Amino acid sequence: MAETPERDNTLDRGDLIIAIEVPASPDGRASHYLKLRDRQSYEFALVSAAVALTVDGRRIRSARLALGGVAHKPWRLADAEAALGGVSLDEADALHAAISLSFVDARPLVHNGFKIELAQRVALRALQIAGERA
Amino acid sequence: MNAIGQSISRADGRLKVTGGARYTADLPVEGAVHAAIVHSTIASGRTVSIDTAAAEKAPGVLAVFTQCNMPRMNPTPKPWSHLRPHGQGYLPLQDDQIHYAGQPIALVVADTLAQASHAATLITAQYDVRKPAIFGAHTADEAFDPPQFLWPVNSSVGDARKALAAAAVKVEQTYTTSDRHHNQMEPHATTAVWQPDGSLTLYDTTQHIFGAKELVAIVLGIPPARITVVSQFLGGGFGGKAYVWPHTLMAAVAAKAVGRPVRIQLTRAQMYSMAGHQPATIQRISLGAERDGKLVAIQHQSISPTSMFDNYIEYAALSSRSLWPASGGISTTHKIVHVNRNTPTAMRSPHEALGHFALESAMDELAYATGLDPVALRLLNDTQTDPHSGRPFSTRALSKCLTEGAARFGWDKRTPEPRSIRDGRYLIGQGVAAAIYTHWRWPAKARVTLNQDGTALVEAGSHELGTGTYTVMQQVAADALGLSPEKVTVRLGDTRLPASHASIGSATMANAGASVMLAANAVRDQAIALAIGGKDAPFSGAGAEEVVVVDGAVALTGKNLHIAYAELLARNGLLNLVGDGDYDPIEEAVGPKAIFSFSAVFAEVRVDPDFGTVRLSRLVGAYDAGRIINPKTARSQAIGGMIWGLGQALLEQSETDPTTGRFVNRNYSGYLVPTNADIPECDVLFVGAFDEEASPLGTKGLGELTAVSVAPAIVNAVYHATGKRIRDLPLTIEKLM
Repeated sequence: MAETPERDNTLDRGDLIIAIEVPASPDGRASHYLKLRDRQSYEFALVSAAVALTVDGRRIRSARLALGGVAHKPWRLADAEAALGGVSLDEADALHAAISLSFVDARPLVHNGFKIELAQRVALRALQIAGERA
Repeated sequence: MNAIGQSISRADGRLKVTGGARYTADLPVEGAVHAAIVHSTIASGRTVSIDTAAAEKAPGVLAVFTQCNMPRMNPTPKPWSHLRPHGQGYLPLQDDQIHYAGQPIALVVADTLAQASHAATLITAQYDVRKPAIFGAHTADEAFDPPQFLWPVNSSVGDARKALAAAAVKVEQTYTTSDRHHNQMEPHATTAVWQPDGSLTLYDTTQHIFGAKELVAIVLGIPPARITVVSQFLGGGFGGKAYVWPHTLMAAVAAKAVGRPVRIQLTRAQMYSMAGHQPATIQRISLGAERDGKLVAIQHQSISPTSMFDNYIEYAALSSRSLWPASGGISTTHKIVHVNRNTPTAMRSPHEALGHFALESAMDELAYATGLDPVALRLLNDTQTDPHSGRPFSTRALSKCLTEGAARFGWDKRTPEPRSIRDGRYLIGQGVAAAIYTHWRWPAKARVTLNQDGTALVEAGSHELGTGTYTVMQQVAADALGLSPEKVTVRLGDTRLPASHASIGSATMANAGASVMLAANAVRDQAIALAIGGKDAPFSGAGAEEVVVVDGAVALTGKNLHIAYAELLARNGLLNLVGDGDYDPIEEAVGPKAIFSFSAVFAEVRVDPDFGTVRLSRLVGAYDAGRIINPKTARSQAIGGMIWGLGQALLEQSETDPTTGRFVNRNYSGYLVPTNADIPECDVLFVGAFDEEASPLGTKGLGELTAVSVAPAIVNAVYHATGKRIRDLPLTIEKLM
């Protein structure tokens, strides 16, 4: 919303969120949320990653992947999700290559350039941990 | 049973956990009104106009002060002195100049805090803005040699430059530390109350009641005798409450002007510009050594920022004067640079905690350069003679700190190569650092009263910062009088009590404690004299050396004869016995021995190499602080110091906006201090012995010592874990990933 940059959502004055429905889905059966921060509690994420997976054996059938701490809203990694299909959870380099596709156009600010690399490492770890549960 | 040496629980513990301990801003004062401060939004320039019209008409407002109508204050004395402790020399609301962001530009006094705070938001200012000077590598080039205010600014023994040039092994590196704020849990607060006779009472969050009294008297132009300062409990001081800051002066002046008691309590955000902070440092260290690790040269240079109007020096290179000897020479220098910020101040542990990060990191680098074990390198370079003054150390149990600490830590199992210890995906690292800490000897007075009912009262103008002063003074008086500690009541924190020194520099036990001991001894001697030569004297004819005090009585040794204090005083028609303690030591610098406390800190870290996260798994601290009066409160001090050092190492930094010159992370959310989850197992050893030079009580400084060398121990452990040397604090994820 160009006229109201201070607003991060579509809630109107007086609106109140009373419930969030998360539909049951096989995609979420194996999932993980990983939050990385300088201090171990009472602290916002430097980077966080949320992952949901379905697999065939050790191969990813579908993946959903989003980051926190990098934008004003959860940041979905659509290119990575598309590329992860068929990749083996045991091939870290291939997982990292797929994740990196979502960072091709990432542009950091003066003080947060490290987040581009850090976010990929956090996403990879979250994916691997979810994979151990799949 | 001796009370000294016992782990006695805090005398004020129950009061504190039940809410019975009244802190400064909680003290009810009849008729008190509230003041809110309006701050400059720019860091450099001047106010062209300040519009107070809307604020003056706001509900409840009694007065609005700006530089146009604020009563004038007398300039504070230079040079700086512990006895007249101005936090900053630039006084509030006296002219139109702006020297730092967050400088007061107006003060609103209203019936309630809400009214004052609201009216403050109605004030607007027009500025003539200049570009602020910000501290950084570029401004450091403008650093200059400052005038001395504590120790000599520079030092030189031997010819360090020549020795370094010829050294077989060299470590030459730059280490940097960040701006930090004290962030005491209790915000600064002052309630100023004028009496009809023109006398002033200040309820003030201060570590230095008598200093505040002297300084406020100068600024207000009234005799010190007319001022009373009260500070009975502090919710943390850490040096940040040792000096008088502008809000105290504004409260006193405003209270006089409106004819009502005025209270000012700083908000968390205001604490970043209204009281001091620890300045960043840029330190250059050069170590030269023989191939066997023997040091031949130490050069240590430090640059730190100060405000535009004061010459505060962070003496970071101080530690390098006395910790290790270097056969060829030691030189240290300090420079400062004026930038647009409020005046920095002492923050636990001033000077030493910053200097040791550089020096003890460099020593670790030297250990790797020479192939020596880091503990062995330090033992090799240990000494019993102060390299700076040439005097023998009074006591120096540093080798015991290193060896006993190493044994407790299990250092012998450490493999020296970086990245050689793993646990799954984690790299494990173990590091060590040693420390030396300044010992202060200051005059202090106290009074002890022994009552007929066998209770005693200690009165001393010292302070309770949360460290246990009420408790340890009980123990000291109890032993001198042969009483159990619970029979002793302690009064502190009021300038109507005998004058004591600032509770800073870890000096309270050794100095204020000594005055309590002397006062209690004077009472004891009176009681013994009565038992020998008073009315119906029970031990008539005995020598004073045969008479002792024990279990609330005076007793004749070896004879199983005793007389209770109650009976002794009653026989002599006395309600009580009063003794004064006047401890007046010579300054440490001119004494025959060099007095310092020592430590060795051992850290174990777990590093996730993918992320650069550092988590502590263990800390062991071994301390030589002389005799320990109360192991329980001392251990609490040590654990607090370790956590303080952990914050310095991994988390704490006050960030300055490069455009506006403001500290930007002015709250507990943006300024990270350790949480419970960050704190590892902390193991504390006391290895020191009675030091008669340091104090009649045998104690040396402890509290601040314990926050020194935690950071280099952690950073050295991170190097051992990862092979990566971080020379800039705090050690955050982006520096290590």
